[in-house]
Amino acid sequence: MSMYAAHLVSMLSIYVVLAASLNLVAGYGGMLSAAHVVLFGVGAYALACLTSILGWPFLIALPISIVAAGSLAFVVGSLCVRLSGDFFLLATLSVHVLLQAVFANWIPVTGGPYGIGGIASPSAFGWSADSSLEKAFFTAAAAGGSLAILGRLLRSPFVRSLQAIRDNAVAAGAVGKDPLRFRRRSFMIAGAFAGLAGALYASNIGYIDPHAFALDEFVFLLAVVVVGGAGDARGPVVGTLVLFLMPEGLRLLPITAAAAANARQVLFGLLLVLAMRVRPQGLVGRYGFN
Amino acid sequence: MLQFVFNGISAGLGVALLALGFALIYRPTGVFHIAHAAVFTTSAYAAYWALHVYPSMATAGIASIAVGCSTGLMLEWAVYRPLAVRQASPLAVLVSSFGAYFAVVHLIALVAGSEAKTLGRGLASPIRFAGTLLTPVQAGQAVVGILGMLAVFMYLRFTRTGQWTRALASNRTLLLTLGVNEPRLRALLFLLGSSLAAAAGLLTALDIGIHPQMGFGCFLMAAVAVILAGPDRFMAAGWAAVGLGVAQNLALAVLPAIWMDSIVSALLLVALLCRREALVGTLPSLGDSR
Repeated sequence: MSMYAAHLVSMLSIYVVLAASLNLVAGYGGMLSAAHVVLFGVGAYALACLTSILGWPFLIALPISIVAAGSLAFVVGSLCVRLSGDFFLLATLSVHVLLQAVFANWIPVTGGPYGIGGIASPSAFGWSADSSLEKAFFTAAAAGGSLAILGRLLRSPFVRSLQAIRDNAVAAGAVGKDPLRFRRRSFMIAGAFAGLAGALYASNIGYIDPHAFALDEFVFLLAVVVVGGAGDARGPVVGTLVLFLMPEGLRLLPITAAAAANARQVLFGLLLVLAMRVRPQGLVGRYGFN
Repeated sequence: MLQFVFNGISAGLGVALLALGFALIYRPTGVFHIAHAAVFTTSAYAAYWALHVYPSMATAGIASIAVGCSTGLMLEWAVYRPLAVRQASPLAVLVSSFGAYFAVVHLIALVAGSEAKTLGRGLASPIRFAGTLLTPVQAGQAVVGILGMLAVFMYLRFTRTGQWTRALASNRTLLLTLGVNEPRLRALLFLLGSSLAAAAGLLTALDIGIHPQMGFGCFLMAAVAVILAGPDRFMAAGWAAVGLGVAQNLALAVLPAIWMDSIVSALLLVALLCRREALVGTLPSLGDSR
């Protein structure tokens, strides 16, 4: 396996976990969160600070990163889950802008626009993933484990209640399901998985800066969930594969990397418009953001 | 201190144009038009290109209004109207608007480059007013802002289509029973709203220059003003924008400018959380709160 293929496997694995966690809140809970990318960023920055600045081992830094993102998700969720669909998206968009400014300007901790380098590779009990291939195996294994846990959760009564609340919060409340409690918990769980994806991202790339968690990344993630299909466990996997592989064709064109990045964003934006117009439930999804 | 207040009034009147344009679209149609920021940006770039072809302010003004109005109408016909026909949810409309914003902005970056540009007006001699110094663009921003607010007031108060606009915001079903052509009224509102955004885009371009992401921060401020103004109140959005402009400039006296977008985002979050009708349980959404 070439270095490029190994890197692609790592990125696919990370984004599948990230998209699956957004699918839990957006597809099953009806809460499309623009803050998900900054929760991904919190996981990445937590791991980067702990391993690169404080020199802690990866195996200790990883769970702390997950807890950090989950705790912040609990705080954001406690504020925002009271809001309905489009209000929720706007409120989480403002959280995104706030945290993005913290990433970009809190220089002693995040390095500001210079970012943080020298982030530890995945390691445990004397073993360390030094090559791209080892990182790809570790990341794919972690993603597989995460998807298994999320898959089990999606079949649980908890998520069935969440779906009922998404479809009719008043009716679900009438049969004893507290909408705010379910929404808050699902948001916290999704945030923790976003934190895990962020920690895996930081340890794979070895360097992070605020651009990796900008609004452009949210549009990509949103396109993954919308095109793949929300409200179905297969949606994030299909969406990630389609949206990762579709712009690969741009590499064949004689254009600069900056132009290709802009062309990708144009493509993702148009895909969102097209999906909402033609097939809001995406390729394999069951929820059409109604 | 007085200098900060006058700077704030001038900047606030510029944002008031954007806010009134947004309110003219959002209140009657229920479309939370994030792509309004893209209309603002395209107008600013149109002024930049027009000034390069023929260096005259009249050319820049005509080009920016023509391009802004065309972009707004194109978005209505290609993105929002089809969703309105199939009665898509406000969340689906919001996702489409988000996609359209990103597609347009990155198309601009693809064509014109991502770097910031100035309109090459050079350092203009300042105007002395009440012991403060204002640039000619700031003075123009204040004059055009006041004229724009007056024009919107006259339109809403003294024209038949203005009455229909208020009626559409208040009771759509009743208005349609009177035989009003809703698609034409919507097109007119997008035309008017986009022309106001274009004027704001032109003035901002002359003041601080242009870059592809310039519209988002200004749009967030306009959205905060419209949400703070409350439902069914058009002109209050303009006054709220002026108040926000003053508050933001006074905050500059104690906080670095890098935190300005964060302050606006925090205000948006607070404004959303304080809206009773946004809460789960009553479950109305942006589109329903007309």
